[in-house]
Parts: sequence; structure tokens; C-alpha cells
Amino acid sequence: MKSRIGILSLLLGACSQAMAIGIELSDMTEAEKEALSPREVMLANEASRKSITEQSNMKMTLTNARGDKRVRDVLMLIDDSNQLARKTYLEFSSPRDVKDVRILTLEKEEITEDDDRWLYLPALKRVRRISASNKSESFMGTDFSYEDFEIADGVVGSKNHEYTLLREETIEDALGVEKHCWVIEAIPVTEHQIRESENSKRIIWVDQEHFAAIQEHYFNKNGELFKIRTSSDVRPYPAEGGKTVWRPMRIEMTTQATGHKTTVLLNDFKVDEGIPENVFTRSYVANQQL
Amino acid sequence: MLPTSNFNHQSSQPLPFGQGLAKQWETMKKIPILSAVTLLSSATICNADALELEDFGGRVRVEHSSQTHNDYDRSLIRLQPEWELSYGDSTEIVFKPRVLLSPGQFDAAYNDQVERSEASEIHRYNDYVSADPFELHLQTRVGDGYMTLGKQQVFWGAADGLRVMDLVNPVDFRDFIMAEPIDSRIPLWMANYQRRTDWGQLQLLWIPDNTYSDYVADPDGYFLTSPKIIASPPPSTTAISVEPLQRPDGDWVEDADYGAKISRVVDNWDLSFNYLYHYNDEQVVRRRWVGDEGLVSFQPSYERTHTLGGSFSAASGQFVYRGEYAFDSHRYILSEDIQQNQGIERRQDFSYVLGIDWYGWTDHFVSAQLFQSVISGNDEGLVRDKVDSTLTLNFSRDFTNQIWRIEGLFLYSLNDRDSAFRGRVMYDFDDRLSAYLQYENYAGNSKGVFGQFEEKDRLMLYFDYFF
Repeated sequence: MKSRIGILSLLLGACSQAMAIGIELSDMTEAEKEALSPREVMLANEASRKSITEQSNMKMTLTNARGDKRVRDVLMLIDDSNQLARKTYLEFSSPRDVKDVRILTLEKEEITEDDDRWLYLPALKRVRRISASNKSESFMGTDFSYEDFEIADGVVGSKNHEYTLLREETIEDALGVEKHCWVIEAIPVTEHQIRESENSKRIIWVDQEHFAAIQEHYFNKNGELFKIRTSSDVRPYPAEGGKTVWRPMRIEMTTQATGHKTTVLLNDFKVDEGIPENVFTRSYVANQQL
Repeated sequence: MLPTSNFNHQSSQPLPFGQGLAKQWETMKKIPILSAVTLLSSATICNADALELEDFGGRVRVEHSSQTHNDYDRSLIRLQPEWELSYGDSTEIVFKPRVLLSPGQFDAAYNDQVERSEASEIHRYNDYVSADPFELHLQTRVGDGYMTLGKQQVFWGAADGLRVMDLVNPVDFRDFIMAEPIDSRIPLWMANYQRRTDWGQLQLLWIPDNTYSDYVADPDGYFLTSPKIIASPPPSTTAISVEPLQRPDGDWVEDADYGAKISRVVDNWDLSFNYLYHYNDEQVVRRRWVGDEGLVSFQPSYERTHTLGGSFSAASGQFVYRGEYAFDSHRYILSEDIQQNQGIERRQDFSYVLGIDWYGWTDHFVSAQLFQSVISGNDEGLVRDKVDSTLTLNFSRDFTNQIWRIEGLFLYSLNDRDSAFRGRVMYDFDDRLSAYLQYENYAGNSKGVFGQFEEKDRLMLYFDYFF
């Protein structure tokens, strides 16, 4: 999957592609918005939130059905300078039992190739190569899978899906703010996507004001709704080239079967401030030396 | 091999609290590299305004274990605080001391630390408390790379549990092979320089700390008895004498270990090439008859070797393939005839591990490894076979958002048909408190490396509290 609006589905910087299909986000009139196809809406969503790099300190709160909480603090660095192959570096700073766990994922340009992924475990003082093929694996005990960290509906990912506009409706986001949305159904259509994805279908609510995907329903291979994501507190950030990107600062994923949920708050969020290239290397994961 | 530490117990006098570390400090200053650490640290600390506490925390582990075939119980509290200090943008000091409280367990007769250098001794203050700096190092930028000076752990290789190329740090066998590597590896005083080059990541090591693998002296603990490891006297022996252990003199150039590693990623492959000029971490025990009265003299020593090897790993679909290999120029094997070469044969050894990890089921991890050691020449009269093979299986699964976790580790020797198993259940109460229930089982040939502990199966309950 090359583009997904999930938690870390950050701004994919696909402005050029968006414009290539005739989308000018900032100047778009209501009539032009009305004329967008479902796929163009998803590309606009990508364009509205994509930067070249981004960094933030994520606070991930895991809450079970009884209300018991666990909190993880994670530094997240992303390099989208290659629009076809995202680089993601994650480093845990708390709690103490996972402190210094580091994960590097380098996507491949070819969608049929598995990503490269390394995991540094401080308990072993060792970098371990791990398989990136099982994308439904839970990310460090959260309700997000590794697939949710990828970008599902952008320039590349959208080619693997068929999009249908189900309806337009106004809903409240997770903070109670009303948003008028397109409600779009995304169904994987390529053999690779059908085989590799944990989803048989997704329904996405895209805010018509900033093209932010404020809600998403995930259906498993049995066609059952199994996870719901909400995104809120959408804020503008100045990005390279004078553009403005719109990003949700609060993202929540709930697993329906267990009632367990993970709430992510993005703190100290920055875009396009430059991240040293060496950060996205195996040796940096091993010893944090640039 | 190890043995004399088991025969020749050297009990240390308990030290008043604080004097142990002071003594260690004096020892450190005898070694130039450690003096460098001292000077750098002092210079840093002199300008206390620039020294910032980046992080403080740690772990307290409370454990109780019971051997199932006897009444040997052990209770232990491990306190491991951690300080991280920074000085400027590129200098960091890490201090992770370890304090052990073992109520009612201490027996001075077995407080044997012959394998450790003075600088890496564990200091015992009374019958209940012992401590050591465990990790204490300073990292700073030097040229285009980073220098880490001090007591530290360095991991080499790609295998789990089996040591082929992971030879930089010796091992504390207090829990045989069942402890986590971070707890069982003995940090050494060393200089560790790393930098990027055109060929990959270069690492250079200089290790003046003559500390070797630490074996248990207490027969109630994991005291080794396997004849594959322990030198034993011939049947007609009437008495034995154990000569003092011949340790390296501690010369910081001649007796130091030296290592180099270059690692890089080529296409989908993580590759490393390693070289270590070092003393084997196991003692070599020579035996000889003395006179005609049936007296056998044991002479333990440490011997040098060159180890050249590497590691690799690559992912493909749901699998990760990995391995490591090493050629050892001097491997000393016990023989049954002590009249020939004093019961020791020097051989060359090629060892390797091939492993495969499978990630096909969500939240599961399954791994298998084959380890083989092949010595040069034939195995006639030796206590081991020419080819020694061990299989390992590793399994784990997370449940309920990693609140529960189960793990299983199984090792099986194809030569001796003995095995070791560790099963563990973990439960996370919250971010700070976790509980573990662990069961360890040994079975098979009692002369084998695993089977020697067939009467020492163990059930262990422990809690980790993080602060």
C-alpha cells in the first residue's frame, strides 16, 4: 500500500501530481470541488498534507476497555523526498522498558517489493533485520498496524484501489467540530494489494474544507468492521515552496472487538526543516551516530 | 574449558561500602585508556555548568527461583539505576551501576573472581550486598567519528543465544545461558571508535581489560561438570594440585585484545566482516603427572587466538535469513590422554550459525538456527567430536496489545542428545511494572553441555519495576 490516511499518513507532497490532474487546492472553488472524482479527492487529501520531511514527538496513549492506560513517547522522523519511497525513523523515549527501541523502515519504489526494516533492541544492544511483509503486525502493542504507517491513497497507492463516492454528509470530528465530508469507499483491486493488505475495504470521511481525512473505517478480510480511526485538531503548517499543509494533531484508533484504543498526540510538529540523510540508515539505528 | 576456578576458590574479603569502587578507581588509573576516561570526565565535571543530566531512571528486579529437583532456592534483588549526562553537543556520559542484594545466599568460599581483572571485579560489601559499575562510559566526537571510552558492551554477529562472532564481551554464567544477553554479558573497559567510511561503518576496538567468562563456583548453582568443558583427572589419580591461574600480565599493549569490524548494507543484505585478536574467554587447563604417587597437577591459563569472521542477514517475504561464521586460529580441546600434550590439543576451528526467522503469523515470531563447530584434524582421543552441532528453536507471541507475552527457547545438541528449554510468560501490569514466570528444563546426556544440569531444572518468578 503506498498511501493511507492513517495515523502517520502524513502529507505526501503530491502537489505536482495533484496539479497534474487539475487540482489547485488553495484556489479551488466549490464547483471545482463538486467536480472532483473520488480518486481525485484522495489525491487532494494527499496533496493537502504532504511535506518533504516532518518530525514530531508523538505521545501514544494505549487504553484498554477497562480504562487502564499505558503511555509511549516516540520521536518520529519522516523523509518523503522520494515520493515513491518513504523513509520513517521511530525512536521510543518512554516508558523505560522500551526506551531506546528504534525502528527504521525504508519503502521500496516498486510496490511488489517488501520494505526494508530494522529494529534496534536495547536489551540485546543489537540491530535486527525484520520482515516487513506482514503489515498487519501490531505496532509495538498499539492499535495501529505497520500498514497504518504507510500511505495508502496517494499517487502510488491510489492505483491499487477503486474509489466510490458513497455520499456527502456532515459529521462531528473527535473534538466535536462539525465537518462537511465526502464519504469514499476504497477497495483494493490489484492482486498484490488484495493479498498483502489486512483490509478488504475502507470507508474514508474527507473534510471538504482542508481535504483532511477525519475518519476512517477499516474492514477485515471477512468484511467486518474491525478498526475505526478518527483525526482531529487539524492545523496548518508552512511547508517548502510557500505551500501550507494541513495536519491532524490528534489521531485515535479503536479496535472494535476489544474496545482497546490508541490515542496519538503529535507534539512539536515541524515540516520541511531538514533531517540529516544519515538518520535513515542502519548504522544510525545501531549507534545514533551521524 | 574452565575448571580451576571451580577447584581453586579465592574468597575476597568483604569491603566497606565505597571502598570497593575506590579500589577499582585506583586500578583503572593504571591503565592509560581508563586514565583518559578519568581525565575527560574530570575535565567535563570541572565545568559543571555545561554538564546536563539528560536522563535518570532504572530498573529494580525482584526475583525468586527454586530448583525443582532439590531445595536450592535463590532470592535476589537487582537495582540498576541509569544516568545519562551530556556535555555540549557531542559528548555523553553513561553510568549504569548494578547493585545486587541476595539475602542469605552469600557463601564467601565461592566468591571467586579469578576470571575478572581488578578493574572489573564485583565488590562485595557484606553478606548481602555486592555492586559493580557495570557500564560507565564517555562518548565524544573524535575527527569524523565517535569514540566511546569506558566500561561497555559491544555486540557482534547476527545469531541468537549462540556465540560465534559475539566474542567481544565475556559472559557471566551465573544463570548458565538463561539470562538475557544485556544482563549476562560482562562489560569491559575499552576504547571503541566508530566512523563512517566509503566502505561502510568502521569499528575499531582496543580492550586492555583482561576479564574472561565468569563461571559459577558454587556446586549448588550452575557449576559446570561436563567433561566436554571441565578438565578431569585420570581414574588412577590419588590427588590433584591446582597451580595458580596464569593470567595475562595486564600489559595494556601486549595483553590487550584488539578488534575491527566493517559493516554495510549491500542491496538487501546486512553484511559485517570482523577480526578479533584476543584471549579465549575460557581457561585452558593443562594436566600432568607429578612423580609416581598418582598426583596430577592442573595448570590453568588463558591463551590467545585470532578470530576472523563475519555475519549476514537479509529479508525476503515472510522470512529473514541470517547467519554468522568465524575461523579461530587457536582452539584448545581437552583430550583424554594427559600424557600427550598435557591433555590439551591445539586445533583450528570453523564455526557458523545459520538462522531463519518467520513472520508469517501476525504477532508471532518463530526462529530456528543450526550451529556447527568443525575442528581441524581428527577427533581421536578428544572429549568432543570433530563436528559439533546444535539446533535451536525460538518462539514468541504477543497477546492483548503486548500486555501478555509467551516465549519458548529450545536448544538441542545433535552430538550428545541433550537439551535445554526455557519457557516464559510475561504480564505487563502498567508502564512500570511487569511480572515474569519462567521455567527452565535440562534433559539428556548428563555429560553434555545441557544435560549436565538435568538435576537443576528451575522455576523462577520475577518482577521488573521501572522508574
